[in-house]
Amino acid sequence: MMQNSNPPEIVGLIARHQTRLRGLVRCLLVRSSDVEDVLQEVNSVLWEKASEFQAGTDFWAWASQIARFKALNHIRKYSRDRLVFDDKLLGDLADLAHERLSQLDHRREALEGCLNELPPPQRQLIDLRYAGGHAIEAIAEIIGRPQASIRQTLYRVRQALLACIESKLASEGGAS
Amino acid sequence: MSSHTRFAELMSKVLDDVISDEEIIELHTLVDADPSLRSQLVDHLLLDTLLEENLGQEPLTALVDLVGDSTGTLTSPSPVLAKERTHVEASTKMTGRPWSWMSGWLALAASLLVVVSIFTLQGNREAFASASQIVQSAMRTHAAPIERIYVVEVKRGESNKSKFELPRDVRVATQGDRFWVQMRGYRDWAWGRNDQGAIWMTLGPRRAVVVNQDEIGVPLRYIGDLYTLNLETLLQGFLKYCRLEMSEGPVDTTIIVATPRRQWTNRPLQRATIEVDRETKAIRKLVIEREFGGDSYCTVTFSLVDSRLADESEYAVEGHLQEKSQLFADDTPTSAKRKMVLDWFGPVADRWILATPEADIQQQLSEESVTALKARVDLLFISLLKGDVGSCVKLTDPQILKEKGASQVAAYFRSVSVLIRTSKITRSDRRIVAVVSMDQGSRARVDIQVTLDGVDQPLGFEIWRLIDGQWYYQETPK
Repeated sequence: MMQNSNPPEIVGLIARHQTRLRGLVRCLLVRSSDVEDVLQEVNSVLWEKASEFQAGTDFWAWASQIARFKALNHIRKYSRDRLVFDDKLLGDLADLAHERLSQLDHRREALEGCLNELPPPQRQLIDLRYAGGHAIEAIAEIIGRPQASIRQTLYRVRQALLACIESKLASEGGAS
Repeated sequence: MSSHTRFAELMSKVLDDVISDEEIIELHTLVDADPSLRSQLVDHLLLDTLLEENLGQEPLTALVDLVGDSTGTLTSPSPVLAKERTHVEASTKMTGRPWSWMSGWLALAASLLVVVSIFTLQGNREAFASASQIVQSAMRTHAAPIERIYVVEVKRGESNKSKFELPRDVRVATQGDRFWVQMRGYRDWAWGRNDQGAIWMTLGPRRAVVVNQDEIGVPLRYIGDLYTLNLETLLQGFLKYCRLEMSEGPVDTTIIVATPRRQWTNRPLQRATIEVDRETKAIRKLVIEREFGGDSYCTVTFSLVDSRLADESEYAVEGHLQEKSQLFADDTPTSAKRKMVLDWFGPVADRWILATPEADIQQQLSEESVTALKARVDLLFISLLKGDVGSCVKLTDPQILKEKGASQVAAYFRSVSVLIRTSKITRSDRRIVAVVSMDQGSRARVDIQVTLDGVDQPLGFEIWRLIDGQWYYQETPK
């Protein structure tokens, strides 16, 4: 018979799935501003419902349902965009995110490789944005280029990274 | 403009946190109309999440902030352009992420703490919120231009007692984050600290000395540590780094007990008890308990005795001097300051000012040790220039790595490395101007001057620790 998870186990599972949960919530909220609040709510619910989780079953499937529910609830409650963002679209986005996030470890590994392959100026931009946490305005001042140009270049670098990740995942899939 | 081009523009704004409500509605409409854009949207958002995780800029929940030390002692290990510093501060504000950050692995650990804290703090969250609101109210009250006077009482453990004789009547005047201290005894005198951490002290109504940080002897440093009351900073620290428990106090007061979740100052705080007036939100009493190990403890009690309109002038040394007085500061040799202080206070002030800081260095650190330290300082800078974060981590004090986590330290060095490379500082722009021994030679402060385009930048300091004959980077104090 299946056993309910004990507290340390569930704590470990919740912690290990934070990036996945954050990613899923982000894909539904799109804007980053409320992601942490919703994620906090998700964590609370996961903990409160810990006794319902059966040890040995698919934690991600269980947790992602809760995250999805919480994010949609948040959108309906607070978002001005609720009339535009219909349930079908949100469902599609959630499915897509869920699918991508099931390969998170591979994607993370591929990303690390791709970051190392970036030419130094592009890597510098990414570092300033993410490691330094600088806004575009600040990066533009530091580098001495217009904001629009920085934003465009950053977008291109992100696209290059996405293409690189897909290529690495494809070759990995082909090799295996 | 094609829908894909517009999508790229809008997506770029989403990722840079600058998209408006109208634009996000437009983005939704585009994605709704064109299913091929949905996967692009998801891919970009997940990449953004992964980049934040991998490169260390992780927005954390308020609850994580409650359970984890976040600002830490690590700041830029090298002085960089003041301009760049402004950018860093400004951009942090602009990104709208007031929470501190940790790198990916540390975020996972922090996430674990989030959940643990949900478990342990569930019942206490409301209590904490109330306690923190009271501390915040107290901060607002003390920011008003009202000066509050506290009488200070110090109790020391046996091993601390014999160290120095402390005056019996000490009063601290404080307003916001500023303070000055009136000491009454055999001599009446006033003192305070300036922005650079130097201690100014009056020697009668017409003379005063400013003792720079590297001139301060152990007894004077001890006195400074005991009576310094940067109330605003202290209360902010309580909010950020302490568990707060609230209870009813005597006569219309609320008691807040602040217990650090981990060490957050170099003066190990064991507990602070704050008695806040329920009506005025002023702090009536503040008890700070410090534990240095064994019976080497110290309890400092600040009790409110008076409130009055602040006299701004008294927060600087000049406000305590009469006309035609003399101020002995940077242009006065240390030995001359020392003699004046000794003449005024007598033998009790024998070690208040170091005989000569330079002599102290020679006494505590051998020439070989200083040379080795300078080499390590240089090696850290070269590693930062090269973006060799691994070497920077290896040069870091293992205790710091243990406390902060190697990932956080690495993420920090990575960020600093980018700044240094961006500001184009070279080795020849930097020079070590002094090495000051600390803690009987077990640590050292390295003073570094950066000159850019012929202009000296503000002096930077690095603290290094000697472990088994090898120097390790500890921190860069502000």
